[in-house]
Amino acid sequence: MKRRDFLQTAGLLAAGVTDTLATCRASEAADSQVRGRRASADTAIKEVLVTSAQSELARATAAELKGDYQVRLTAPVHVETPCEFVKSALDHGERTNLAVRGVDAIVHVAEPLPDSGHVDGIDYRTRCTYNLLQAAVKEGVQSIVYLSSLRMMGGSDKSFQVDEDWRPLPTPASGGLSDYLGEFTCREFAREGRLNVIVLRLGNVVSAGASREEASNSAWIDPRDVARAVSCALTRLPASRAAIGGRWSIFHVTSHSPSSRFPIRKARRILGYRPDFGGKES
Amino acid sequence: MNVLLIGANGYLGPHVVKALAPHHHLRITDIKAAPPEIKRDFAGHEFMDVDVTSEGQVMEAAKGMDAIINLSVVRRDPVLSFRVNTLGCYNVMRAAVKRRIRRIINTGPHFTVAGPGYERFDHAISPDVPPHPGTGLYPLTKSLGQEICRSFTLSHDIYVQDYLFYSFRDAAQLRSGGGGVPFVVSWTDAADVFRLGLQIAPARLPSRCEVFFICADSPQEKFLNDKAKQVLGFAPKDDVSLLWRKKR
Repeated sequence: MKRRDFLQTAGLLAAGVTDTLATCRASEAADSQVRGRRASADTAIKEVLVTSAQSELARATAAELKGDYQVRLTAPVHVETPCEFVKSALDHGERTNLAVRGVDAIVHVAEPLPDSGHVDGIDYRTRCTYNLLQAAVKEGVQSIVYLSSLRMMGGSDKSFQVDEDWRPLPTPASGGLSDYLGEFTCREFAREGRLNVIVLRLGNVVSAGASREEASNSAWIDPRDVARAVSCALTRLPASRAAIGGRWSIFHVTSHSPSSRFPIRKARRILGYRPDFGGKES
Repeated sequence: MNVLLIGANGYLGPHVVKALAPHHHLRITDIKAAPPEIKRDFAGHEFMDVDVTSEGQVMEAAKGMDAIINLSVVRRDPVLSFRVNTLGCYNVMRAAVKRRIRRIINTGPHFTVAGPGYERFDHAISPDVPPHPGTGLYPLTKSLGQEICRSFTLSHDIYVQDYLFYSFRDAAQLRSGGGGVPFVVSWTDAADVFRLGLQIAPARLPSRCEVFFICADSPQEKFLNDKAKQVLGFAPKDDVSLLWRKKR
């Protein structure tokens, strides 16, 4: 039985109700059009800004993305790169707006300069992130991938598997405090509906040439796998509101290891992330 | 008790100095000089120039102290708000660890935890809600500072009380029909809570990091001060409900 017939049989389809149904249908059609426009706008990620261009992670990410996106890099210091480059300290000012102007998404690697101390690291992950996100909002950028770390999750009982539902327990000694504060900053922009944010909490990033001992750490990841995860996130960002669960989503990302405390099931299931470099199940 | 006051020469600081001076030895610090009457009336206490953004200065000022009260704040400057409200807390907590100071009182605005996402929608808002400061510079930087304090208490035997305020009034300003935001406290009641916070045995605090709304009873019941009353024994003397009574 069709809905209209059912309502007539039930005696509910009076003139006013018909009007209401018509209104609802018109509204649904309008919603559908809006969704269509959004989907169309959402799928338009073509140009991506990658921050902390001086870092290995940013280089690996740019190399992964440049086949599919126009990549712009930014850093507080000059960096030689075949990609477009804008020097910016992510200060509060026009320079940061220039860095983000015209891009569709930002990959915020958020790695401070190599000799930075704790305080500089916190400043970079909070103040500079805030400036970057404010500039993004002002310039109409909708989506951010923020690279965080699993260090903030290490405080829980070692016998537990810790997924994205667990409360972060960052301590100053763990090194995860600044990453956490950066997440906190991003989260408020997502909560207010100003940006779509995907957080990738990375395991300990270990270079390709690292020793077997380093790589045996269950929560490690190769920079090329980080880049792959970023690429997966960018691919899914267009549908983030519907498919990923709103404007704010967190994913744990490591190499796959059966002994890992930090399962990557969510990243596999939703982002389609598959680690390629080392750490595979035997 | 030897108490270090940081940012003590702003609006609230001089009231806190008056409330604590009879009970404790104070080291009164700020980047700006203390008001002349404070220097005159409390000459038996110490005065120092301390910039909370300087780890070295905070570390030096914390020598020999038993407690730190951080009253420092910058509200609008896009660089200094982070340096003072966020990194200032880091410097204070580092100094507390190094100087083995277990008692910290941090301060901020109510939207350190209860930003527009709560304030616009809810009533009976408790200080124990998950922090939603929003993206405003002042609330966010203060909230980040509070998160830094909390992170230190996870791994150190330090007790942080975070006192959150909104609107202050002179008792004489509390007149019928005055109106205003429903989160008000008189300067003297606000200052007195610091005395209570220094009195309480750390073991009586529910955890090593506790947030309190410091406001008097308001008839709207938008923000709850029950926790400050129950845990600290806060008993505001000035009746702010007058502000919302009809004028006679």
